[in-house]
Amino acid sequence: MKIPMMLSCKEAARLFLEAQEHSLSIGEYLALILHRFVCGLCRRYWKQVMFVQNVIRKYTGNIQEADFGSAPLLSIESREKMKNSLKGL
Amino acid sequence: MKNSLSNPSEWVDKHGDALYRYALLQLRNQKTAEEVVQETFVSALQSKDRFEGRSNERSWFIGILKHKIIDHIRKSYRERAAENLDVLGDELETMFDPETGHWRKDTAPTEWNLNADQLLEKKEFWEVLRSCLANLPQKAADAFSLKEIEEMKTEEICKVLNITPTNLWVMLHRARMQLRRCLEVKWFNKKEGRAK
Repeated sequence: MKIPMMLSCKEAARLFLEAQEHSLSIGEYLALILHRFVCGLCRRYWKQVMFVQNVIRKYTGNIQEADFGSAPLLSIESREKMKNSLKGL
Repeated sequence: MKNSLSNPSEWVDKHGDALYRYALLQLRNQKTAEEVVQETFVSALQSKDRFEGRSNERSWFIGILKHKIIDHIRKSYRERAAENLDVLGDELETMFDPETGHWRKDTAPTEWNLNADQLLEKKEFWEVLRSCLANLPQKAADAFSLKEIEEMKTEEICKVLNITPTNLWVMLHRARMQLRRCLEVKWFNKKEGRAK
Protein backbone atom coordinates (compact mmCIF):
# COMPACT_ATOMS: atom_id res chain seq x y z
CA MET A 1 0.00 0.00 0.00
CA LYS A 2 1.26 3.43 -0.85
CA ILE A 3 1.88 5.71 2.08
CA PRO A 4 0.34 9.05 1.09
CA MET A 5 2.91 11.04 3.07
CA MET A 6 5.81 9.76 0.98
CA LEU A 7 5.82 11.61 -2.30
CA SER A 8 8.09 10.91 -5.23
CA CYS A 9 10.18 13.85 -6.46
CA LYS A 10 7.87 14.17 -9.45
CA GLU A 11 4.75 14.32 -7.28
CA ALA A 12 6.48 16.83 -5.00
CA ALA A 13 7.38 18.99 -8.02
CA ARG A 14 3.80 19.00 -9.19
CA LEU A 15 2.53 19.95 -5.74
CA PHE A 16 5.16 22.64 -5.39
CA LEU A 17 4.01 24.18 -8.65
CA GLU A 18 0.35 23.86 -7.76
CA ALA A 19 1.04 25.57 -4.45
CA GLN A 20 2.07 28.66 -6.42
CA GLU A 21 -1.37 28.81 -7.99
CA HIS A 22 -3.78 27.69 -5.29
CA SER A 23 -3.67 26.54 -1.70
CA LEU A 24 -3.03 22.86 -1.06
CA SER A 25 -5.00 20.62 1.28
CA ILE A 26 -3.39 20.16 4.68
CA GLY A 27 -2.38 16.59 3.77
CA GLU A 28 -0.72 17.73 0.53
CA TYR A 29 1.00 20.58 2.30
CA LEU A 30 2.44 18.34 5.01
CA ALA A 31 3.53 15.75 2.48
CA LEU A 32 5.34 18.46 0.53
CA ILE A 33 7.08 19.83 3.62
CA LEU A 34 8.14 16.33 4.60
CA HIS A 35 9.46 15.60 1.13
CA ARG A 36 11.51 18.77 1.04
CA PHE A 37 12.88 17.96 4.45
CA VAL A 38 14.19 14.57 3.41
CA CYS A 39 15.12 15.22 -0.22
CA GLY A 40 18.28 17.25 -0.75
CA LEU A 41 18.02 17.21 -4.55
CA CYS A 42 14.53 18.73 -4.51
CA ARG A 43 15.57 21.39 -2.00
CA ARG A 44 18.49 22.23 -4.24
CA TYR A 45 16.33 22.30 -7.35
CA TRP A 46 13.72 24.70 -6.02
CA LYS A 47 16.34 26.90 -4.44
CA GLN A 48 17.97 27.18 -7.86
CA VAL A 49 14.66 28.01 -9.54
CA MET A 50 14.15 30.86 -7.06
CA PHE A 51 17.75 31.94 -7.54
CA VAL A 52 17.24 32.19 -11.30
CA GLN A 53 14.17 34.30 -10.68
CA ASN A 54 16.15 36.68 -8.47
CA VAL A 55 19.01 36.96 -10.93
CA ILE A 56 16.55 37.84 -13.68
CA ARG A 57 15.03 40.53 -11.46
CA LYS A 58 18.46 41.97 -10.75
CA TYR A 59 19.22 41.95 -14.44
CA THR A 60 16.00 43.61 -15.50
CA GLY A 61 16.04 46.05 -12.59
CA ASN A 62 19.42 47.36 -13.68
CA ILE A 63 19.16 47.24 -17.39
CA GLN A 64 17.77 50.74 -17.73
CA GLU A 65 20.78 52.40 -16.23
CA ALA A 66 23.76 50.12 -16.18
CA ASP A 67 26.02 48.72 -18.84
CA PHE A 68 25.76 45.09 -17.93
CA GLY A 69 28.79 43.21 -19.15
CA SER A 70 29.31 43.58 -22.84
CA ALA A 71 25.63 44.30 -23.33
CA PRO A 72 24.57 44.45 -26.97
CA LEU A 73 24.80 47.87 -28.58
CA LEU A 74 22.90 49.43 -31.45
CA SER A 75 24.66 48.96 -34.75
CA ILE A 76 26.22 52.03 -36.37
CA GLU A 77 23.78 51.75 -39.29
CA SER A 78 20.65 51.69 -37.13
CA ARG A 79 22.04 54.48 -34.98
CA GLU A 80 22.44 56.66 -38.09
CA LYS A 81 19.02 55.66 -39.37
CA MET A 82 17.42 56.72 -36.09
CA LYS A 83 19.27 60.03 -36.06
CA ASN A 84 18.12 60.71 -39.61
CA SER A 85 14.53 59.88 -38.80
CA LEU A 86 14.60 62.36 -35.94
CA LYS A 87 16.01 65.03 -38.24
CA GLY A 88 13.35 64.39 -40.83
CA LEU A 89 10.44 65.24 -38.54
CA MET B 1 13.25 71.45 -9.80
CA LYS B 2 11.76 70.06 -12.99
CA ASN B 3 13.87 68.16 -15.49
CA SER B 4 13.97 69.35 -19.07
CA LEU B 5 14.53 67.37 -22.24
CA SER B 6 17.86 67.46 -24.04
CA ASN B 7 18.16 68.29 -27.71
CA PRO B 8 16.64 65.51 -29.88
CA SER B 9 19.86 65.32 -31.87
CA GLU B 10 21.53 63.91 -28.74
CA TRP B 11 18.85 61.34 -27.88
CA VAL B 12 20.18 58.41 -29.91
CA ASP B 13 23.70 58.70 -28.47
CA LYS B 14 22.49 59.25 -24.93
CA HIS B 15 19.75 56.61 -24.72
CA GLY B 16 19.87 54.44 -27.85
CA ASP B 17 21.92 51.58 -26.41
CA ALA B 18 20.00 51.38 -23.13
CA LEU B 19 16.63 51.38 -24.91
CA TYR B 20 17.90 48.81 -27.38
CA ARG B 21 19.11 46.48 -24.61
CA TYR B 22 15.78 46.78 -22.86
CA ALA B 23 13.85 46.05 -26.05
CA LEU B 24 16.14 43.20 -27.06
CA LEU B 25 15.77 41.54 -23.69
CA GLN B 26 12.03 41.40 -24.17
CA LEU B 27 11.64 40.88 -27.88
CA ARG B 28 14.75 38.75 -28.48
CA ASN B 29 15.00 39.84 -32.08
CA GLN B 30 17.51 42.42 -33.20
CA LYS B 31 15.47 43.86 -36.05
CA THR B 32 12.23 44.12 -34.05
CA ALA B 33 14.10 45.67 -31.11
CA GLU B 34 15.62 48.31 -33.39
CA GLU B 35 12.21 49.05 -34.88
CA VAL B 36 10.53 49.66 -31.52
CA VAL B 37 13.43 51.85 -30.36
CA GLN B 38 13.11 53.90 -33.53
CA GLU B 39 9.35 54.20 -33.02
CA THR B 40 10.03 55.27 -29.44
CA PHE B 41 12.27 58.14 -30.53
CA VAL B 42 9.77 59.26 -33.15
CA SER B 43 6.87 59.16 -30.65
CA ALA B 44 8.99 61.00 -28.10
CA LEU B 45 9.73 63.75 -30.59
CA GLN B 46 6.06 64.06 -31.52
CA SER B 47 4.99 64.28 -27.89
CA LYS B 48 7.95 66.12 -26.39
CA ASP B 49 5.70 68.98 -25.31
CA ARG B 50 3.99 66.53 -22.99
CA PHE B 51 7.18 65.83 -21.04
CA GLU B 52 6.38 67.31 -17.67
CA GLY B 53 9.79 66.99 -16.11
CA ARG B 54 8.63 64.92 -13.18
CA SER B 55 10.76 61.95 -14.20
CA ASN B 56 14.22 61.97 -15.69
CA GLU B 57 14.65 61.77 -19.41
CA ARG B 58 15.72 58.11 -19.47
CA SER B 59 12.65 57.00 -17.50
CA TRP B 60 10.42 58.95 -19.85
CA PHE B 61 11.90 57.16 -22.87
CA ILE B 62 11.64 53.79 -21.14
CA GLY B 63 7.97 54.52 -20.39
CA ILE B 64 7.26 55.13 -24.07
CA LEU B 65 9.31 52.09 -25.06
CA LYS B 66 7.34 49.83 -22.69
CA HIS B 67 4.09 50.80 -24.44
CA LYS B 68 5.63 50.10 -27.83
CA ILE B 69 6.88 46.68 -26.72
CA ILE B 70 3.55 45.64 -25.21
CA ASP B 71 1.72 46.85 -28.33
CA HIS B 72 4.05 44.82 -30.46
CA ILE B 73 3.49 41.65 -28.41
CA ARG B 74 -0.27 42.23 -28.31
CA LYS B 75 -0.49 42.56 -32.10
CA SER B 76 1.46 39.36 -32.64
CA TYR B 77 -1.03 37.35 -30.54
CA ARG B 78 -4.27 39.01 -31.61
CA GLU B 79 -4.77 36.72 -34.58
CA ARG B 80 -3.78 33.48 -32.91
CA ALA B 81 -6.30 31.08 -31.42
CA ALA B 82 -6.06 30.33 -27.71
CA GLU B 83 -4.13 27.15 -26.99
CA ASN B 84 -4.67 24.58 -24.35
CA LEU B 85 -1.62 23.48 -22.47
CA ASP B 86 -1.19 20.44 -20.34
CA VAL B 87 -0.27 21.43 -16.82
CA LEU B 88 3.48 21.15 -17.09
CA GLY B 89 3.17 17.48 -17.99
CA ASP B 90 5.95 17.50 -20.58
CA GLU B 91 8.56 19.17 -18.40
CA LEU B 92 7.96 16.92 -15.43
CA GLU B 93 8.06 13.82 -17.67
CA THR B 94 11.52 14.73 -18.93
CA MET B 95 12.93 15.57 -15.51
CA PHE B 96 12.03 12.41 -13.63
CA ASP B 97 12.34 8.68 -14.08
CA PRO B 98 8.94 7.50 -15.41
CA GLU B 99 9.01 4.35 -13.26
CA THR B 100 10.09 5.67 -9.89
CA GLY B 101 9.26 9.38 -10.15
CA HIS B 102 12.72 10.25 -8.81
CA TRP B 103 15.38 12.42 -10.41
CA ARG B 104 17.04 10.98 -13.48
CA LYS B 105 20.81 10.85 -13.38
CA ASP B 106 21.23 13.32 -16.24
CA THR B 107 18.67 15.85 -15.00
CA ALA B 108 19.31 15.76 -11.23
CA PRO B 109 20.31 19.28 -10.15
CA THR B 110 24.05 19.73 -9.70
CA GLU B 111 25.43 21.96 -6.98
CA TRP B 112 25.82 25.60 -8.06
CA ASN B 113 28.18 28.27 -6.93
CA LEU B 114 25.46 30.65 -5.83
CA ASN B 115 27.46 33.72 -5.00
CA ALA B 116 25.17 36.26 -6.64
CA ASP B 117 27.48 39.23 -6.03
CA GLN B 118 30.33 37.56 -7.84
CA LEU B 119 28.03 36.53 -10.63
CA LEU B 120 26.83 40.05 -11.26
CA GLU B 121 30.37 41.15 -11.95
CA LYS B 122 30.98 38.52 -14.57
CA LYS B 123 30.06 39.75 -17.99
CA GLU B 124 30.30 36.21 -19.39
CA PHE B 125 27.48 35.20 -17.06
CA TRP B 126 25.20 37.90 -18.47
CA GLU B 127 25.99 36.77 -21.98
CA VAL B 128 24.96 33.24 -21.04
CA LEU B 129 21.79 34.55 -19.37
CA ARG B 130 20.91 36.55 -22.46
CA SER B 131 21.41 33.55 -24.71
CA CYS B 132 19.26 31.40 -22.38
CA LEU B 133 16.49 34.01 -22.49
CA ALA B 134 16.77 34.13 -26.25
CA ASN B 135 16.33 30.36 -26.47
CA LEU B 136 13.01 30.21 -24.62
CA PRO B 137 9.98 29.31 -26.75
CA GLN B 138 8.44 32.56 -27.92
CA LYS B 139 5.16 32.52 -26.07
CA ALA B 140 6.71 31.39 -22.78
CA ALA B 141 9.34 34.08 -23.18
CA ASP B 142 6.72 36.75 -23.85
CA ALA B 143 4.74 35.67 -20.78
CA PHE B 144 7.91 35.75 -18.75
CA SER B 145 8.88 39.23 -20.00
CA LEU B 146 5.49 40.75 -19.27
CA LYS B 147 5.43 39.25 -15.81
CA GLU B 148 9.04 39.72 -14.71
CA ILE B 149 10.16 42.77 -16.62
CA GLU B 150 6.97 44.74 -17.04
CA GLU B 151 5.51 43.42 -13.77
CA MET B 152 2.05 43.37 -15.32
CA LYS B 153 -0.89 41.80 -13.55
CA THR B 154 -2.04 38.31 -14.49
CA GLU B 155 -5.28 39.43 -16.10
CA GLU B 156 -3.56 42.09 -18.20
CA ILE B 157 -0.99 39.59 -19.44
CA CYS B 158 -3.74 37.11 -20.31
CA LYS B 159 -5.46 39.77 -22.42
CA VAL B 160 -2.25 40.63 -24.25
CA LEU B 161 -1.35 37.00 -24.97
CA ASN B 162 -4.91 35.79 -25.48
CA ILE B 163 -4.58 32.97 -22.94
CA THR B 164 -6.23 31.76 -19.73
CA PRO B 165 -4.68 32.32 -16.26
CA THR B 166 -3.90 28.60 -15.97
CA ASN B 167 -2.06 28.63 -19.27
CA LEU B 168 -0.12 31.67 -18.16
CA TRP B 169 0.87 29.92 -14.98
CA VAL B 170 2.06 26.88 -16.93
CA MET B 171 4.08 29.03 -19.29
CA LEU B 172 5.75 31.00 -16.53
CA HIS B 173 6.85 27.84 -14.81
CA ARG B 174 8.02 26.36 -18.04
CA ALA B 175 10.11 29.46 -18.68
CA ARG B 176 11.64 29.42 -15.19
CA MET B 177 12.44 25.71 -15.32
CA GLN B 178 13.96 25.98 -18.77
CA LEU B 179 16.06 28.97 -17.76
CA ARG B 180 17.32 27.07 -14.74
CA ARG B 181 18.28 24.11 -16.89
CA CYS B 182 19.93 26.30 -19.52
CA LEU B 183 22.02 28.16 -16.91
CA GLU B 184 23.02 24.86 -15.35
CA VAL B 185 24.25 23.42 -18.63
CA LYS B 186 25.82 26.57 -20.04
CA TRP B 187 27.25 28.11 -16.89
CA PHE B 188 27.09 26.25 -13.59
CA ASN B 189 28.34 22.92 -14.93
CA LYS B 190 31.26 24.68 -16.61
CA LYS B 191 34.44 25.69 -14.85
CA GLU B 192 33.36 29.28 -14.14
CA GLY B 193 30.15 28.47 -12.33
CA ARG B 194 30.92 25.19 -10.67
CA ALA B 195 30.64 25.03 -6.90
CA LYS B 196 34.02 24.74 -5.23
